[in-house]
Amino acid sequence: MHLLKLVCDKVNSLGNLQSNSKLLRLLFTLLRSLSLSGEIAKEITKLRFVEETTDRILPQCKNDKDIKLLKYYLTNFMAFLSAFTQTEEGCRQIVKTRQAFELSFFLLDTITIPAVPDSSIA
Amino acid sequence: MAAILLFFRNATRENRVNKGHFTKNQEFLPCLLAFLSAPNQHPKIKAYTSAVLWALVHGHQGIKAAINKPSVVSELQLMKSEYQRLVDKEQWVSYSTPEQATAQHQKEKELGTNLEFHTEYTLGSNAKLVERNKAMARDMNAFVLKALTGILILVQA
Repeated sequence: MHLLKLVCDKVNSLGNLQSNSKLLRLLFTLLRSLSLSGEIAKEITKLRFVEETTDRILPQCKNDKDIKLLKYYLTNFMAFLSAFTQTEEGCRQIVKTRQAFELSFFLLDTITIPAVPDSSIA
Repeated sequence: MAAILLFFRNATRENRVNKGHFTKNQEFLPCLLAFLSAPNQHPKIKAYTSAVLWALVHGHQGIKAAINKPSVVSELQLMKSEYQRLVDKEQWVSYSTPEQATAQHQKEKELGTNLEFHTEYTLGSNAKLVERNKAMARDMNAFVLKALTGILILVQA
């Protein structure tokens, strides 16, 4: 649990949310792997990691341009959330954090996915 | 975007309480349907979107009722027939190149693994990646067909 707290604190203390640093990727990968366990998911909720992170992201994320700037951080965070909700316990815990849903809805509404030409797929 | 869709799928797969969040948001279902019907959308995004829709429809009467409108159902049926055509076409192409298929099957038997399962799905421009992209598009199209069939069965049940 000390390790978990250390990792969560480290992620929350990262200053630049726009960078694609190796440290950011490693920390989120570690969190992703850890949160696949229901017990850890419970602990993460107790640490209020999801709330704190979304509270940090939301003020900086107001339109498509902002999302593009934060794309690495957002990708890592959303991948963490998808791993977090992989277990039944995680699903139960995520209900307590409304901000996660709000952020996801906002991203879904705002992002415009570029069209892929047929030639590049097949 | 793929990560967001994965989050939605996982959050709604088994949990009825989470599904409530989605019924409250008026823009959510039209947004998903727009992703599915958009031309030139990445096959992965389409497959993930159909998985979210399938997970939502499963075991929730409210969402079933929201989708069970003649216009939406006919749109889904149209998409299903389009994907059926695509999957059949891809299957026919694989039948027309039996040597290659047999060689792969033999290799899989020797290694005791499913090679297609381990294909790394990435988009690229060089010739080496074209085959991978084809495999990815084929698998994703097959999944979308399966998901659309499942959605229609659940909605019309």
